[in-house]
Amino acid sequence: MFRPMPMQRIALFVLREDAPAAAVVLATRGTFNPEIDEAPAQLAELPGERFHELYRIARGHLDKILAHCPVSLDTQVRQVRLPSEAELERLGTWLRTVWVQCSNCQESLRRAEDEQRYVAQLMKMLDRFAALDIDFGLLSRSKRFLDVQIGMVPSDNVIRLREAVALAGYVLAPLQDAQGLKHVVIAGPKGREAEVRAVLRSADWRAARMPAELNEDPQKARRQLLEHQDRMIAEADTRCRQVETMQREFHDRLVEAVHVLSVAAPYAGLGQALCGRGGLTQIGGWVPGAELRGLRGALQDRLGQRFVLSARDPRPDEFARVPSLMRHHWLVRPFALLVRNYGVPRYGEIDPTLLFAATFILMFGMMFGDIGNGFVIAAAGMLGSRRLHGFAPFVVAAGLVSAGFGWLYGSVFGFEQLVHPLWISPLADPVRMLIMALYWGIGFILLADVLTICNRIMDQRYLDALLGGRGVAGMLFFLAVVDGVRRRYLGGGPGGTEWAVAASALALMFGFHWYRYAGQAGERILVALSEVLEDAIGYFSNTLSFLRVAAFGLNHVALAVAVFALASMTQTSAGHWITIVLGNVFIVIFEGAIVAIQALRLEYYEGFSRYFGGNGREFRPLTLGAGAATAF
Amino acid sequence: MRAISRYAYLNTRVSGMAAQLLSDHGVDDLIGKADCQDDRVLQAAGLGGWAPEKSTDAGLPLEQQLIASLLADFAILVRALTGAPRRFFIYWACRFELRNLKAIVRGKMAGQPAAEIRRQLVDMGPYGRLPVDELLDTQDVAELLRRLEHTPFSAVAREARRIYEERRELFAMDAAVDRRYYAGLIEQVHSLDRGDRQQLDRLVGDIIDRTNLLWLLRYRFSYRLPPAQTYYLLIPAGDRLQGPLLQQLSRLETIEEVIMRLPQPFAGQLAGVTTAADATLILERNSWRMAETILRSRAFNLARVFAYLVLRGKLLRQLRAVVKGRRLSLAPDLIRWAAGLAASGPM
Repeated sequence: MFRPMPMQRIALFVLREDAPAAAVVLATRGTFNPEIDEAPAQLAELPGERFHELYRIARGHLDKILAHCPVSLDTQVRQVRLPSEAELERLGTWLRTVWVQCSNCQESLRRAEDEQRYVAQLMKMLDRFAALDIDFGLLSRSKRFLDVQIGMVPSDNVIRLREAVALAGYVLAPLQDAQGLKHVVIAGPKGREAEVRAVLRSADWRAARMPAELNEDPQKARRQLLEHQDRMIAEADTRCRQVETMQREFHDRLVEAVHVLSVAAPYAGLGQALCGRGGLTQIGGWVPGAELRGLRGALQDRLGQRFVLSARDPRPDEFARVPSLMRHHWLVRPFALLVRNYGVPRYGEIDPTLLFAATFILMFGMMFGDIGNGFVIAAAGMLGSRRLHGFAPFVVAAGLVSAGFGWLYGSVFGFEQLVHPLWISPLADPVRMLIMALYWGIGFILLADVLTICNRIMDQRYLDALLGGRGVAGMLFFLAVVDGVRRRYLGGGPGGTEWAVAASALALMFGFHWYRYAGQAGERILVALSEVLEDAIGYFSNTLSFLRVAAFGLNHVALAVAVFALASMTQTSAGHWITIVLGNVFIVIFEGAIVAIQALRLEYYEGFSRYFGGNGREFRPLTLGAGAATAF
Repeated sequence: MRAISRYAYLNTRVSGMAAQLLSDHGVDDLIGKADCQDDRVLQAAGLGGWAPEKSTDAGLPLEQQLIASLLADFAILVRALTGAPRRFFIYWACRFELRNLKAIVRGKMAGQPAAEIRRQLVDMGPYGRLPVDELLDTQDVAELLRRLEHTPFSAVAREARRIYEERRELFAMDAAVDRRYYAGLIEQVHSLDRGDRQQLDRLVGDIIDRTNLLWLLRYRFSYRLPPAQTYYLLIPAGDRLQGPLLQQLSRLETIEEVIMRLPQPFAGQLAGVTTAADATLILERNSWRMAETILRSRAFNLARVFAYLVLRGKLLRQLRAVVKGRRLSLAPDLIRWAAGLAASGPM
């Protein structure tokens, strides 16, 4: 519950012809994470390599085809036999042919759309010319001394193009903008057309192909352009119909291909985790210890006695590579997702999910204590459970704890008089609230230190656990200083014991950093001092960070007071209640979101950054079907 | 004071890294040592982990190894930056991604197999935006360009499509991509606040001027492009070489005339030069000198970081010249020239 599941490093030896069947068993169980390295030198061949490559190619084509023309698939993978390499190669070739057709189709569609855009722009230009008294035909016609060109360039290129064509004696006049393009006319003396054409090519110039009839009959030209546009739309429609025809024509074979590749996925997914020589094949990887027996049974059912399965505990030097598998109750899963958002626990490291869940909702409640608002949040979590995609328990728990703290604070939708506070109304004694927040912070940090020490011990970093800034020495220093401050606050002064403990702890921390850092004496002193200073300051800045727990509790009451003040300014009773309702909606949505973010920030920065490495490797099992893609 | 507090860490890292840069004398010594093996050459430049024997079919080619080492330094430095300065440096590193993009488009147009194209690419790590696998898995150029249109490089895709459909002139695509990149670099510099721009605009401006001048010489006198096209293909920004002057220079008919009309210090630096290749080396050396001056200064600013990256890039180019020169059994003088250590090519 508090650590990733114990893993076993397995080596499965099977006959080469049984390897695909073994892969299917491993994938069906869904509890095997392939591992690439540790192939013995005697088993240097990679029997699955070609299969893997053929699968990769076929799968690549299939994915592209399905994105282009999706086909409806059964959710259940149909039982088909594992394809041979030759069959997989043939399937890949066929899929490639289909994809080339799809790709041509896409390309034609793109061209048609491009052409449609171009015609639409020409039409716009035509509209513009219609309003002007310009003989466009005359402009377009070839002239004896003057070279005139009309076309479009990307708007970004216009200024540069104007300067460049000026070097050839040309002038450029922009006409209109259209979707990042500019219609322009350029004109200059004949004789340097080649030079100008070269510049135009560099400037991504597109000459306007205006109909010859424009001069004589603009209406005819417009009709012609519209006809051209219709042809383009018809062509695009034809292409789309081609896609539909392909979908129908290839549907069955594509569905078959999906099934074949789903069955091929586990064996292909083994990749380099599969090694061997001659008729012998070894599959290496990780399996949760609790699943080993079941796996052995499943292999026996499928392969009889034709396999050897050896398993061992992970060695300490392997811990960084061992995948971490955590199983959580569904109620805690949303919290686990938030933990994973920060990182995956290293193998053997304490999984902070439960602690995170408990402290997060407690802090949320402390900062947002209100019976009414809390129940609204809880109800929203229950009613919107579908939309929240598994996060409903998270919202409901936060709402209920918020309501619980509402009893302690005596607050219902901001009304402080309806319920007598079980503990204290926040604004009645803000200092006490702040002190409680400090105590909460101290407790939180000490708990984080205990977890850090446990993790260090697990990593066999005993000196770090004992003498590190976040180890026993750091904890003692923090406790001594906190006790000293507490005594001073109560009227006395810190006793000699506190000072002695704090100084000794600091000295131990300094000595530890000195010992750990190799370098010149001066450099070592500087580094050790900096490290100790950082550790010491870190304790107090992190503790003060928890003041926000009280601050947001007070803020909630203050916001409610502001809402009531606004409500009291309204003239009517209806206005009064509308203001209160809208104010509470605002509080629930905005303050609720801010408080959730602040609680998460405290967890990540003041908690996880102290004790949680989060640099583990996620357990990625070999699976059947579409999910097999994750096995790569 | 603000710059000191903002860039104290960065400044320290740059100073530490700069101390490991091999000087021109160091590179010269390496060229002079006849018995020095490739791995020694790379070790001397702080690239001990790189194995030149891997630059065969099985491993990364030398060029990619060297760029990867530069990107590793870049990653360390950029981690310490935020906001506009970070965006500026990430944009600078985009040049390697554009190199990848050009390699993919060229490779696909030439019908190279995906594995061969992949060998030419640099791993951009977290700073990469190109979906390399997807692009390499495409069946043909048309599909490649369609995919590219859905990436941040859609403008390049449009340009490449026109070129592919009309004339298959890859030079035009390269020129357009490079021009757009440098124009963007200037925009990035302008987006920095005044304090951050100190010296940086001078160094970037100098690089743009140098690039513009070299392109102008190359387009006009090597490729024989007309003045208008030459001018169009130049970067629309710079420090000393601005629009009107570039227009005038594009009209001139010989290299000597261009050099005579250049403002100082270019005219003085290039006096007597007759080829674009010699001009390249001289101008690059001057840019490097400017970068060295900035790197040696004690100011806490972004220009030092940029200067370090420029000089690191220079060193890697020199090492490539040394290693390749040795493999081809070239004369030391020729290697020196290729490494930018000699003013003009061996006679």
